Amino acid sequence: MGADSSTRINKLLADWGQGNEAAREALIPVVYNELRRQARRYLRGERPDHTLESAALVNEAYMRLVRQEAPAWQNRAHFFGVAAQLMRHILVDHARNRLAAKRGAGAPRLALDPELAPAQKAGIDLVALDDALSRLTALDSQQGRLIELRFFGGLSIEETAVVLGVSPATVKREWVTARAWLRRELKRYEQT
Amino acid sequence: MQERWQEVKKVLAGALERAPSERHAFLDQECAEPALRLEVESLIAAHEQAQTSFLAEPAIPTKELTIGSSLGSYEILSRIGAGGMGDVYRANDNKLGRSVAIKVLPPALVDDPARLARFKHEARMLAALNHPNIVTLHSFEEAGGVHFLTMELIEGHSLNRLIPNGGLPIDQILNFAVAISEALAAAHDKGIIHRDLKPANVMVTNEGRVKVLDFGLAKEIRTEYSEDTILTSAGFTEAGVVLGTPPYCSPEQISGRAVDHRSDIFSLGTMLYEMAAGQRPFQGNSAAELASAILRDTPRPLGELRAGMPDGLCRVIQRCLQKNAEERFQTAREVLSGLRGSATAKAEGSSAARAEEGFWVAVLPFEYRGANAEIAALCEGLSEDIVTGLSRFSYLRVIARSSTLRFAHAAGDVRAIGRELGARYVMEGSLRQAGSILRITVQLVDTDSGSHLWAETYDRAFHAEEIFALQDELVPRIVATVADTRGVLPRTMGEALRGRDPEELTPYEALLRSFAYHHRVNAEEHAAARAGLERALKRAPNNADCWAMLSHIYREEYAHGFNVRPDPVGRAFAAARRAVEIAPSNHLAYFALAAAQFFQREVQSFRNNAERAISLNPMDGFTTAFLGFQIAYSGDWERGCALVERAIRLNPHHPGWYRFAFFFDAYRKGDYRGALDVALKVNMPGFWRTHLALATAYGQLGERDAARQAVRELLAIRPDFAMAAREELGKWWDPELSERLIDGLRKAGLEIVPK
Repeated sequence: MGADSSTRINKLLADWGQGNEAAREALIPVVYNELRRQARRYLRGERPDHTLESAALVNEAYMRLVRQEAPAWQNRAHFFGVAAQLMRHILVDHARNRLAAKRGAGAPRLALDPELAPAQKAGIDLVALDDALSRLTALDSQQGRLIELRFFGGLSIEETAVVLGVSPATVKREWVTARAWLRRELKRYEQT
Repeated sequence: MQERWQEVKKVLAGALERAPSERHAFLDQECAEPALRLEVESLIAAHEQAQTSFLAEPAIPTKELTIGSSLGSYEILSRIGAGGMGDVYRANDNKLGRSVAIKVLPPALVDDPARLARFKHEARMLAALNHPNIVTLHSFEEAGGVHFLTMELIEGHSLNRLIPNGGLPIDQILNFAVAISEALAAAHDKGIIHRDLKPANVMVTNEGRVKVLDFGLAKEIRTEYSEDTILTSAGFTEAGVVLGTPPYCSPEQISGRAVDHRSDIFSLGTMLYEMAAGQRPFQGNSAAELASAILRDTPRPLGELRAGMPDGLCRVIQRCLQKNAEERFQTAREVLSGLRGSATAKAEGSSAARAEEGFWVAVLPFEYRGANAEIAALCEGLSEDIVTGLSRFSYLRVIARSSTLRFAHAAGDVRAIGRELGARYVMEGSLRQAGSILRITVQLVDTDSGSHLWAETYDRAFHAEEIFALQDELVPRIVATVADTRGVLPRTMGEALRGRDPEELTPYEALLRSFAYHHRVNAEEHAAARAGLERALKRAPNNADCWAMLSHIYREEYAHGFNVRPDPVGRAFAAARRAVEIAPSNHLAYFALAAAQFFQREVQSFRNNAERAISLNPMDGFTTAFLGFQIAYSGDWERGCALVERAIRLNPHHPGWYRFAFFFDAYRKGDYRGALDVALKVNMPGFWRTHLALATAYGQLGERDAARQAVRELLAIRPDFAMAAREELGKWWDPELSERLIDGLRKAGLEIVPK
């Protein structure tokens, strides 16, 4: 990472740690660009077998952000939350761009490789999911965050429970119902 | 709409919790309103359609292993945890039928061959550590593209979950502190630095044993940050995101400077502080504030945060937390020594009580009244290194330097100082310069009797640029002369206890009492030492020093024929094994193990363990000499004789038998004149081997009168020697050398009974 963006990220992280919510918003594009830059670097052919590597790279960068003990944060939930949000942005943007490229709109191919997102292999339309998730959040903000943390953030049920400050049993129950709701939303989307 | 969803959700959750066959009845009961029922039913249908994997697998693959799957010969049972170092699983080793922990390495590490190679090297060193307070690394493996470490599975809790708000009980802090310091000492001896010591990396097993995790493994992860990639060094360090665990980082770590083992000592200090106070010594609302606190703030005194904190423990923690590495304890062993001092002070309440327990040793700061800065530095360095050196002898109780410093310029009666410190033995020294000569005087005083136990004067040419060399030359000599099991202190301690009723000795006293055997090698002393140690081990079955000494005593049944019971070498080996298991960094334990293996003719293991014993404590002249001649007799004459020479240099007052290795080396080469010269220097009349050496050398040289005289003296001590010679010689020397010795005896006039 360039020294500039590194300094910038640090400043934002520190501000956010002190409770400045605007810093969080500013942080997302900066870190996002950084993750993309990394992915591009890998995809420039520095490695022969780049497909999985880029996934691994972004994954690891993310894990590094998320898994660190960060006691200076006022609230661990904020941190996990922003990281999960970040991944959602990256993946959904990626999916949108691919969609645009497929339609021949001439959009530049985004750095991240399809291998990155098993969701697509599993037949999940990330763009549709993103829309549905936004609607779910409007309906039930805790469920929205829960899905974001679990699916985009990769947190386990236990970890999600810690972040949301509820019991694992509650997470499981909320998870099942939110999932059913999203499944139905996506089905409807497919049919239109 | 939101309220409606809450209502729907409640019914839906209730329905989904029930078996499909029961849902219909449940909905009949819950849904008065048909629209609600329709809504819930459509969601149940969606739930049924969704495969269980829907959204369950994260958008980003986490490379998690599936529970129940196989990885090589391991079956993955459950996920234990995750971390920057990779995910950890509990697994069953199907080959060996045991449970292990498996740590999957992160892809970025695995994909870089150079880093992977370095990591493997680190892992190999770690695997060789084998310490009861360090989680054992079993193997480094690869299966199906997954690289992983297998480790000892620890059933217990990590320390960060065990520290209550008000801190841990003092004796528990001390136990944990000693265990972690022992682990650090063992690792640092091998050049392995932990680099990420924190409560989350310390496990306490369900039996209460302490195990430190992830030794040195942070290194390769760390390297990655210093390289070009995403998270470069300084900035992220400040932000507190990357370098693992900033609250426990040392100032040099947090500012990105070079780190050595003393960084671990700082981290240990932060952990001990947290254990004592229930809160960390350095805090900040942001990462930058935290970094600033580590670099600049002095932690609040523990005494203010917690009543009843022992002063000694506070001082130990404070010393660990010095910003400047030079001002911390320099080694983990020094920490141990400090902890032991504070433990006893705590347990006994006062230094007066410490004196009662007995046999504490204090090294006062050496005295120098001149103005030369180099000499002043040497003066300080000498006493400090002597303390460190003495601390390597597990059976000595050395008072921490932090307690003795206040006597730096105290003019006063040594006996009074000793009483104040609770030290029975006090070492003091002085440095004086006269022209180009530096005179260093060191003496050891028994404050009980006021008698001087030992004093030595070293005159050396003084060159300012060579003070470190001088320090390195003098410290091992001083330490070896007073501290090894045959040294001034153990001899004095052993003698002081000889008059006491053996039944009344504490285990520690029984150990010290057994050292007297080294000075009176006879059956009576042997029996007393053995009985005392066996009794001590009934009371203190985990005393490694006692097991090691008992091993020596059992082995002596075989070597000297004293008080023989069945299978002395086997018992010696078993006792030594026990000692090594209890204290894998105890040099006496390895000494005992090697010495027993010599007689078991396990040449390779013997040599490995002998070298290990010597490297664990190179200042032990007795160990070096004894294993030196065993190594020589096992066939490596060059190495063995070199070790014996070193032992002789360590202690000019060494026992004569140190030289036997040179005698047999010359004799086997046919240099009988040279051999005789050595034999004449041994000067141990009354020891059968002296007369054997003289008889065989004179015999080979044809000096018949002297040879016969030597044979007479040999037979006076060992009347059975004509009968026993072959067996006796065969214990120590190979058949060829044994026959040559028998030939020498024949020429001296003693016919040995044929095989």
